[in-house]
Amino acid sequence: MGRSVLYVVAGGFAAWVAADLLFNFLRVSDSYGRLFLF
Amino acid sequence: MVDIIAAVPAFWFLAAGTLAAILAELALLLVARARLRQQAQAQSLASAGEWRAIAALTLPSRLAEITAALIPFALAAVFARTIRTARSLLVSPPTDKVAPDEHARLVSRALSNELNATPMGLLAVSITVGIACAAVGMAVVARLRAAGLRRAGALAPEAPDTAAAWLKFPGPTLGPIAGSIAAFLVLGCGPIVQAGYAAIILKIKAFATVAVAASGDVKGAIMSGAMDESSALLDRALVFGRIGVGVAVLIAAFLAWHFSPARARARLPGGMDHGAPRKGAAGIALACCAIAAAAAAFVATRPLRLENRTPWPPYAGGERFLGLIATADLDGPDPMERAPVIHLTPDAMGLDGVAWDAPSLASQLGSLANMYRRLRPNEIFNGQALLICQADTPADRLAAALRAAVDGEAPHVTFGFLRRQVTDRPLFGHRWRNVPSAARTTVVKVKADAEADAALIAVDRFPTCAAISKEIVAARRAGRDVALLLPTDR
Repeated sequence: MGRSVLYVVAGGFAAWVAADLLFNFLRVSDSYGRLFLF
Repeated sequence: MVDIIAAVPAFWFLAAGTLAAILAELALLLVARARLRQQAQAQSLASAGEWRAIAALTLPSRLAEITAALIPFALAAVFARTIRTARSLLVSPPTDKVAPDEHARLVSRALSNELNATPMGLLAVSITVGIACAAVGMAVVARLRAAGLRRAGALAPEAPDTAAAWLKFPGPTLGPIAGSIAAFLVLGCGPIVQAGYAAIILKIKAFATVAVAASGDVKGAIMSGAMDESSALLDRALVFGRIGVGVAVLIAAFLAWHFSPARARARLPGGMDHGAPRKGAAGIALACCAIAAAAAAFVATRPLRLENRTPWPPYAGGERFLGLIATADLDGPDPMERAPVIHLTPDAMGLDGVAWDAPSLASQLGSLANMYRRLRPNEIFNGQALLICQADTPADRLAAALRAAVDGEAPHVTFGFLRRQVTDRPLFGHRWRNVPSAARTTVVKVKADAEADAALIAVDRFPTCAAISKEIVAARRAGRDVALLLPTDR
């Protein structure tokens, strides 16, 4: 059971970071656009 | 389609990479499926007392599941690199070596590259991740069930009840494992992928509107609005994604508990296998590696995160005037329109960036007026000039420049004001722009030339450019035309 908890925690953390990475990569596109308009 | 192929940089390389990733995932999926089928047959034979097929089963290595998990990351990295290259071209500054129109074409192409490569990347990686989810799940299930069946085979001669329990529940089934992985991906990343598509569509629609928009200011405002909306979409999606990860953790924990093969075995008579060999540390090491890699990725994302958290000054339209002259700190009521630019400081005077003395300035302006008439014989010359005057410029120098404007057939002198706005970007460094405004005047040599209802301001009544600018702005704000009266020519 201990392993399952570790796998769930690792999966949760990895998913959280993947979502954060994807969000920031897509969101920074707007910054490039704004730089163009600045 | 041809347009998309042209708009995505290295389209065929990316398409081939995507195809290779999908085929590799499918191959891993098929290998795992074949193993599971073989295991199911061996399980069925063993239930009938024929254990030889189980003894012949091989224990799959973790390589298949690790490879299946890493392929989408590799593909995402290739797309990310392509998009980053497009972005770096987007912000490449103009240089003397590249003609302005060529630079504009380069930037336009980079923008198109980014707008097209991003949805292609999202689509390609999403498809690959979907197959990878099944491939990783099947590979894990095949490995764990093979170990369980082998354990059943080992126990069969001496502990038939325990062997029967292992035989019935040798390991996890695909549903809970693939379901857990899918929950993390769909609930955690799904909202962001969906918002990513929506944001791109929004920007593409904005560009289509911009293409037919009338003025530069309207174009800029449309694009700025589209970026505000796109950012808001993604910000909202991040909240949903974070809630989604929390929900996915609960789902995965529930699935792990509810469908635990150990729990299922324990419920059967003799199902408690006290002599089961301890599991190796490879699983724990892999989980720790995943956590460490995620932590490293989180740290590596820091510049992007900081950039996204730093707000931009609101969009300001108007001409982009990149002059360094510190004009009076005023906000003129008139727009700054394109016209020959006279720059004036206590030490320098000139036209369109080239230094001239007052007589030459008049002559240059006169040449421009003549050229205009020759090129556009049917149009009336508007006689406008834009004056960018340093705040502390003495009135006598101002008077000299204004007189040159009148002599050069440009008596409609607009005073331009530049308000410096700066932003320090984590990703782009220190950036500045001038927010322009202006106040229109007409310069006259004698009172009689001024319009009857205009506010008459004598230039020599004020000590500096700043002082007279303040008076001009006050009059313009009061809705009056301004006539600047030059001192008597001596």
